[in-house]
Amino acid sequence: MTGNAPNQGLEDFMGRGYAHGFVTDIEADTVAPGLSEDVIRFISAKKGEPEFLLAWRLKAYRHWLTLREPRWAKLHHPPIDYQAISYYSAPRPAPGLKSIDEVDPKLLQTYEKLGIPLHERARLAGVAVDAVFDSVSVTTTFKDKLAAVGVIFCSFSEAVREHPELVRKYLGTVVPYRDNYFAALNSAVFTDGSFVYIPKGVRCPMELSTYFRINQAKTGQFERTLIVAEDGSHVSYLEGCTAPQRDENQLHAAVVELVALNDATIKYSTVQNWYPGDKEGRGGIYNFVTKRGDCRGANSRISWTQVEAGSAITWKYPSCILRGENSVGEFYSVAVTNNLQQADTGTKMIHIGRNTRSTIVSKGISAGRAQNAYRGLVKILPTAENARNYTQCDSLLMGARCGAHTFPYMEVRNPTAVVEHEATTSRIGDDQLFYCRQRGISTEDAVNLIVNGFCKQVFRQLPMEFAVEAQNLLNVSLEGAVG
Amino acid sequence: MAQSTVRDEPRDQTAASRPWQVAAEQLSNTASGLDWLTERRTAALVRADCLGLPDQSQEEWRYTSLTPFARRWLDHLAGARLPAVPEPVPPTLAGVFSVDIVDGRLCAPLLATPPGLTIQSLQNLGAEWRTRVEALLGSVVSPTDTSASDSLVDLNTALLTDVVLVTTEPGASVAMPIHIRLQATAASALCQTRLLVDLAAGSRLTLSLEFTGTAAVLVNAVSQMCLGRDSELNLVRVQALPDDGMLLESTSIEAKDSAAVTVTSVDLGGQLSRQSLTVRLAGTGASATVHGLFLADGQRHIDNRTRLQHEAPSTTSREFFRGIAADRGHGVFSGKIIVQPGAAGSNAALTNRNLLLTTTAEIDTKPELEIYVDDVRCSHGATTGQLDANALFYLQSRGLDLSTARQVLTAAFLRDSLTGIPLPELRERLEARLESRLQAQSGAAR
Amino acid sequence: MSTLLEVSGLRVAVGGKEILTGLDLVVRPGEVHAIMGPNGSGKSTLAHVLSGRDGYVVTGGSVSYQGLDLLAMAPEERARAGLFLGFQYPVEIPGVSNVYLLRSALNARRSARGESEIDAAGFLRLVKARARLMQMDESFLQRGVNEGFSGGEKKRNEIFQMAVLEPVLAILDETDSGLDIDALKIVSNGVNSLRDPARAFILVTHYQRLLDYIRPDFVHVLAGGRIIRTGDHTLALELEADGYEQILAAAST
Repeated sequence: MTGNAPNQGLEDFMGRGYAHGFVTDIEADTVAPGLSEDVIRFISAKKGEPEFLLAWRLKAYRHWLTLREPRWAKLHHPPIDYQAISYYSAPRPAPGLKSIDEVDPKLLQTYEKLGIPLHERARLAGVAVDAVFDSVSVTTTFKDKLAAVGVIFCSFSEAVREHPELVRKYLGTVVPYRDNYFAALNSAVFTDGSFVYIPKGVRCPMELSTYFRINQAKTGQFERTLIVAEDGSHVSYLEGCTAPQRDENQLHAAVVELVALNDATIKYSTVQNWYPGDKEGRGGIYNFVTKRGDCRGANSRISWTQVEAGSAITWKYPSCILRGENSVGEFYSVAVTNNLQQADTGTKMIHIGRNTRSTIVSKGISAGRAQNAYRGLVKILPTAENARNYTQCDSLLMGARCGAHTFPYMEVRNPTAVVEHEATTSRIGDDQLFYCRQRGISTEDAVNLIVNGFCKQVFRQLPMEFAVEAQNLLNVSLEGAVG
Repeated sequence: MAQSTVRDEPRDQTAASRPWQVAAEQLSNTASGLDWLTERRTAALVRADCLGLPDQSQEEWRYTSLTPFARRWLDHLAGARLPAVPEPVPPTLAGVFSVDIVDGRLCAPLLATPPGLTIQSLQNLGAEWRTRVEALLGSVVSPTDTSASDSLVDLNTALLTDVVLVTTEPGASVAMPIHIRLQATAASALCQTRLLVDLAAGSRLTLSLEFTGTAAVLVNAVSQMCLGRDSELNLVRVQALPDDGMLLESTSIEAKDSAAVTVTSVDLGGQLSRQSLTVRLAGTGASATVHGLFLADGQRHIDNRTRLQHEAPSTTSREFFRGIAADRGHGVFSGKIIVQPGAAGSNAALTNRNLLLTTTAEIDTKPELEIYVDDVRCSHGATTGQLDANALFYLQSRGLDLSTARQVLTAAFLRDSLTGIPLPELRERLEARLESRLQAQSGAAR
Repeated sequence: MSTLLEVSGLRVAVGGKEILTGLDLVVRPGEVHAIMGPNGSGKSTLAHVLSGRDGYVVTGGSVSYQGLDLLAMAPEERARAGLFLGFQYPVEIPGVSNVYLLRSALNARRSARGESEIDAAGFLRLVKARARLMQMDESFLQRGVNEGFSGGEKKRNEIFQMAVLEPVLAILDETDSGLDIDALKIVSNGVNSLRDPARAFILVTHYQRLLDYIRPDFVHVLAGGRIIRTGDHTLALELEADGYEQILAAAST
């Protein structure tokens, strides 16, 4: 590079690690910033919601007003001004389109650029996609094919219109609006998200996936996802997320609720790549997410897999309530933080039923000046005879100025339960690096190789096509982490 | 960095929630005659009053409520004490130098202390130690451990009746173990014990502390220990209060370059016991080994919080903590390892194993790592469960009945933690006490 | 015959202490050199310095390899130029499969030489053939590098990697230590089958028994940081019979 590179060039260079930082120039209906009951009524009216939902939103809002932001996480950020955020932004023309041909080509191009072609001829084989752009769902692919086996996969707004009885039956039963500060906020202002219903005995014939994209400036994204798996059903669901590169922070506060009934299995995978901010910590998404699965039925199983690479701040604890006898909860996580990113993430496994089992595998990688914390709770109630938990929590540090922290809580109230936790923290071994280099592999490649090996247990849980994506994402995220 | 808990809600201002004010008033009638101490007391009381007693909204106190403690304190202050039933005072151990501190006061006269060792109290404090004692009384237990800076240390400073200072001479190797019995009696509403230990460079000391008391006693004990360069401290701490006694204890140990400390902590009594132990490895090459053991049977609530803080390069810590909860007992362990920036080459490992014997008992455990530098090797492991089924079966196959087999394995589980106690008689006495309690346990379980 | 490796007057310090005190060694293609010596004589230091490990300070002398200044090269450059170190304590790399490491290593060497990446089928054939040579179960290929391997399996894995990477100069650091007699035979067979007029070996070993299976062209006795005696394979037998002390005593007079 020449000494007098123009600023723009430098900026590109700094941002080269984040490939999804572009902005889609599209006309949008964006409500003025601010939060009030009127705004909530506006959102509800815009979506033509039934009365019960508006009432629920308002209850949530009034409760939220009584709450204060949680402070217990190992995160530091300037106060969030909730009145400076716009709570609704939708690309024009308004959603509710009948056909993909009516979708603005700019939107289709956006998703194409992100590697998620929505058009019939180019669609990912075997993966149905719901594309959420700012506050609304743009389109959902393969709906007909799924409908043929009785699977409902649509945007949350559509579910409210078409299947209000299901929404009413399950909404807020796993994450009540009183659950926490951000869940209350989301309950008041959520705009869209995905809805999945797998009927009794059905094994969903394809991967379901939602791709979340924040585009507009000064907006937040508040989506809500609800997945219900009836007796004996099976579904694998994946979400991906990206956002443009901006200097200001944007808020993402989502809620995900999963319900698994008798013998049902839900596998929920996340590849989170929200804009992480630049090397100086400017910009980036504040990601405050409440995700919880309820293993309501006997022999049910909920498995969370997450690769958290983006966001300036990550605050999320995908959890399992193991109510049904013999139910199984799993949490596999890779969290990568570089530069000034902060992550406080982990899980809760609440064992209520007999013979319930849970497994937690967490891999944290911290580089630059980043702080990366695992926080987890394993709770065994007196009713959880023979409950078992195994937790493994490893942290890798890259650089003398980053931090890695482990905060596990184990609360055991049944003498037949066995809870085991193991954790390690270290840097990449000099001996491992030298071994690879002696075999002819460059330091950078050796680091990638060792880090990917470190995360293997988690990547193995991802659907094949996303495992490769996750691996590449990891390498990009750690670019520049080794001198 | 660790965030201190700042509370912005106004405290409950009724006298009922502020027993320390009543206590301070009662104390002011019996002035110590030491002006500098009065100043310290006043400052500490103001701080304690601001913070109030710790409560469960604070992360460090998540599993332990001080409500029963505060209530009883008020009762005691109002003179509503149970008639004191004298507890049998344990016989003095052979081969040790015994010291008694009763209700926080050092008991005189002392026999001749072993060579190289000095034991002083406020009454006979040497002028050269004044400044040091003054400084320690002015500070919280650990200036870098803000999470421990709850009001308990300030309460102790505000209400203490004596300060006991144990010091060694440079290079002195004190051959005889020092056994300090800290007894609480009905004479004090809340017994405040303050112990300062200062090991000069290159010296060695074995020190055991045993908490005992009469019925329904309340104790708030603070210990501050400083290990000079190359010194070695072998510390044993035994909590053997009566079943209705309550102990709050804050201990801070600072180890300078190449100093080594070994701590063995045993909790077997009390209704409520909370120990907060902070070890600061402040000098290059300093090391710490901590063994802990608690038996939370009956209605006991036993909470151990340890914090091993690596502040200097090439420091090492090893911690092994074991707990048993039975009956309606509640055991809590939170063990944190912190490696601060600059503490490169640190090596830390913590192992926590717990046995839960009944459905009505509970164990909450929280091993934590907070690491701020990459050149480290840290690990922790924790398990909570029951006795190993294979081992039980093995013993049964050798002809032991199930209840005996359980007893044998549980006793072995406990004994592991006691092997490091360098006072054989004390160790045997503890083993016998624990085993008889477990016998009762396995008898009841079957 | 040309010279492959020339070590002249090499002095190396570790942590301020001089371990090699002026070592000379010349290795030509096709030769097998055994370097023997008592514990602490500097044998492993030599192996590590030649492969470029950190923590060794060269205070004097030079090393030329294929006419290049070896000491100026990064460890991976040396490896790509055909230098292979069989580790005394092979390192575990969890989650990274053996084949993955080998393919990365092989391709790094090929691209350094301007060759294209090896095709998948050809690679698999090569790897399977070499695994058979070392009597290694194919499941080892998919396992994490040395992850949970026994001591003997790790050593065999080192020779297996050598067989795949086909080095020009192989330095085997105490490859025989910790091996039972069967494993020793397998390892030796592996080495012998790779002997080639274009390839040289340096065997660093404490015991003579490895040399029963791999007959060296030269035996060097390393003591006090330099080579004090050089002979043919009979020198090893002499060492075995008389021990190091006698030779050291003889050398010091």
